[in-house]
Amino acid sequence: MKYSLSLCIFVVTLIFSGCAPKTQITLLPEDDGKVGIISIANNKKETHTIDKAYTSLNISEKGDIEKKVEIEKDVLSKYAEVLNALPKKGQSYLFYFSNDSADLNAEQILELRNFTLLIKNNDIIEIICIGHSDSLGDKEYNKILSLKRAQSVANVLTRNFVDKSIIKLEYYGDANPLVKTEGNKSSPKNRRVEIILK
Amino acid sequence: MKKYFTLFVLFLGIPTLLLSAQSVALVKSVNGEISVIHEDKTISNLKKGDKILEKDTIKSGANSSVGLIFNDNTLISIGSNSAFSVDEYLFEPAEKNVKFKSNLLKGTMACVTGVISKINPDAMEIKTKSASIGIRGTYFVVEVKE
Repeated sequence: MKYSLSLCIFVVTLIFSGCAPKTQITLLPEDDGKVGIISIANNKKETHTIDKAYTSLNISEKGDIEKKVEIEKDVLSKYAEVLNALPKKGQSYLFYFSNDSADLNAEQILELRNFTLLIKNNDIIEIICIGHSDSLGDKEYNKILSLKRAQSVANVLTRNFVDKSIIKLEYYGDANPLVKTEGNKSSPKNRRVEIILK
Repeated sequence: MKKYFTLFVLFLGIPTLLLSAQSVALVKSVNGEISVIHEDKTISNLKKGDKILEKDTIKSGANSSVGLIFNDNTLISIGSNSAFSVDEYLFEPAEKNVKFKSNLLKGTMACVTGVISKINPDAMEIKTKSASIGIRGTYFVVEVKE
């Protein structure tokens, strides 16, 4: 009995010493097919790089690095759980304003109402409303104007029963233009509120 | 006198609380059992909509996963039986001050990089027991086998 127990311990030790902790990193293609670059340094400061989809780097506990080409299907099924849990990128939408105005027109208000459905159906947990102005006029005035724009968008959402606590307001005045203009210029594309849904 | 002292401590405490409570990510989805261990060692269960702070460690049980959206739009998910810590997170895009250092202690994680690695391709690093991984983008999965 004692003999079999020690044999058992011996076998278990053997198995575990064989699979020391190991890191594997696999590069995947983005939706548009683009692939990034990843480099790995081990404890000996040796560096290896991959830049092709479905290639992987494997590092043993001792720090030996091995590059491998993986099979797409195998990677996707092996990591299905964690890949499925990855959130989608925050969606961004733009609403434009008239000169020196923070008012939304009837069409935009309707569009924002439809938005509330999108928010509810997609489990949105945060809405960021970012107000912007063009560079015409006083900078401080424009900051306030851009805040008012963000507020009018947020107001339509809360009037349509979007939870106020998930809305965040930000405003930049003319500091973050969509189209670069020379100073003190009217620009319809820069008079906007960007909404980001997370 | 004691009363004033408590007040004084409160005044000291409030700004530090505000500073340390800076959220770095939001929990977008939770499957199964996910817990978070804060820097002060307090533990709580994570649910959808919760905030993640710098120095938090996220742990998952069997058949559990969690999806996170970081402030810079970096997306990270963590699979079953995993532990992942956010060691350093700095996102001040206007000043181009960015840093994202994390540690996959065990298990699996997937990631789509966001604005941080666009602003500075050297700003993002993931550590594991055996390696330090420099991320220049954009979509990848990491596994730490035991």
